[in-house]
Amino acid sequence: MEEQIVELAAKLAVVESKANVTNSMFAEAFYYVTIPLMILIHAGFLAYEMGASRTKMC
Amino acid sequence: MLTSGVKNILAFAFVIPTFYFFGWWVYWGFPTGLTFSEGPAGISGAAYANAIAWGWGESAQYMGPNIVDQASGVFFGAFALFAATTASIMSGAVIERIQTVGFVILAVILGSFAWVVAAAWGWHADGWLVTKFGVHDFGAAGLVHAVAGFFALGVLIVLGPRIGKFNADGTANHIAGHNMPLTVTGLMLIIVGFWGFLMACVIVPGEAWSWFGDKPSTIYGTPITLSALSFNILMAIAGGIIGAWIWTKDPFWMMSGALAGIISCASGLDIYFPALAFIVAFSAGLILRPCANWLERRGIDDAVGAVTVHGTIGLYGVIMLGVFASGFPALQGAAGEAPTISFSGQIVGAVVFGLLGLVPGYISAVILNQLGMLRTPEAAEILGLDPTKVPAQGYPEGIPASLQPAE
Repeated sequence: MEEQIVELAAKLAVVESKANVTNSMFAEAFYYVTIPLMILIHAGFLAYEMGASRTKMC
Repeated sequence: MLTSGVKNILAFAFVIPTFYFFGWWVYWGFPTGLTFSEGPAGISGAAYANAIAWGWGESAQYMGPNIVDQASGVFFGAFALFAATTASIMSGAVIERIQTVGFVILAVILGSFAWVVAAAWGWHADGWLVTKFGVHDFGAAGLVHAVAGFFALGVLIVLGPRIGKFNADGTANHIAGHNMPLTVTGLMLIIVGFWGFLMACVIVPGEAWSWFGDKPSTIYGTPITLSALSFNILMAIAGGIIGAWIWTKDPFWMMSGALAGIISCASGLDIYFPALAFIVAFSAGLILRPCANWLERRGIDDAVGAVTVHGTIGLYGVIMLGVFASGFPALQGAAGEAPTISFSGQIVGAVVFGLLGLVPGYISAVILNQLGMLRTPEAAEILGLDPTKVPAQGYPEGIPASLQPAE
């Protein structure tokens, strides 16, 4: 009985550790992906501004 | 035309390192105000910021590659993009007559300082606008958009209009850009990017500073889900487009309406019900052109309507939340103890955000103007800035004129 509890406690520790890794990997990937999406805003601003400017060729 | 593009990208390029060098510190050091004392949640103040936000010394471990730190860099990255985007908002308003160096300096002041102070005060659990006035601005309508819009206004007041914009009797001429398809497509791309911006406003479990280990929250620790965002952002985009189209029938203003729709609902994307988001966004789309015309009648030449879309509508959004969501919690905390959203609180927030944009923008522009670093010489403006500023030509083979009428 005791050995089962010790074994289960060890397994639980492994599962908890894996869950923590999953959570931190998720959080990191989540914010990482926001960055290229936000850079797209800049692609948009660039196109927007160039389109709104006049071409003046002398 | 390429000059506009170059300065736009330079704003991005200079804001990133300046945000790294001092902007990040401002976010963590300023929340309680100019005392720089530690706030109630223990994650602010000069000491805290010194410990985590300088790129050298003890805090450098949180400011670069570190195998045990999977959070600092991506969080910094999201914020740095917020900073670059805020600076970019000013960019379109000032085209065709601003000096590149002067503009970059203004962009750094806006992107690595002005909005960061607003964020520290109104978008941080320890921010005094939040703790004392219950200011709630989930998607940064006030602290990014209104600050940037009013900063641009401060600059525009000093910079002056493009040559040929206003006639002697004060009436305004419409100065058309050279490529409406590019402009409208660019606006659609901005809508795509907005989803990343609003995603980054969500605090997910998995980091040391996550509010909860089992559910997402806003930066204030109040409830939010990506599902809620999906409902409300879509309705806001749609409402803004339809409102602006009904009033103007114009493709440029229609797409600007999409932005205005999101910005008018951003403060409360976590709280609004989708139908309400549509209505608020629709109203923002309707008032967009009238507000822009009002500004133009006062002699302000805002080439792309940035002051209206971001400044006016940003404050509109902050205040609308006070109308519809009074009593909702502004910050995570025990019932009866946590500050709540109120109409007067949102007004206070709106005023502070507006001033945090207008005052630094105006003063910086005045100083740069005194130093001769703000406006390009008249002769250069008439010739066009590209020949003198950019070694490349936008259309070396010329632009073909069409023989058939446009579809």
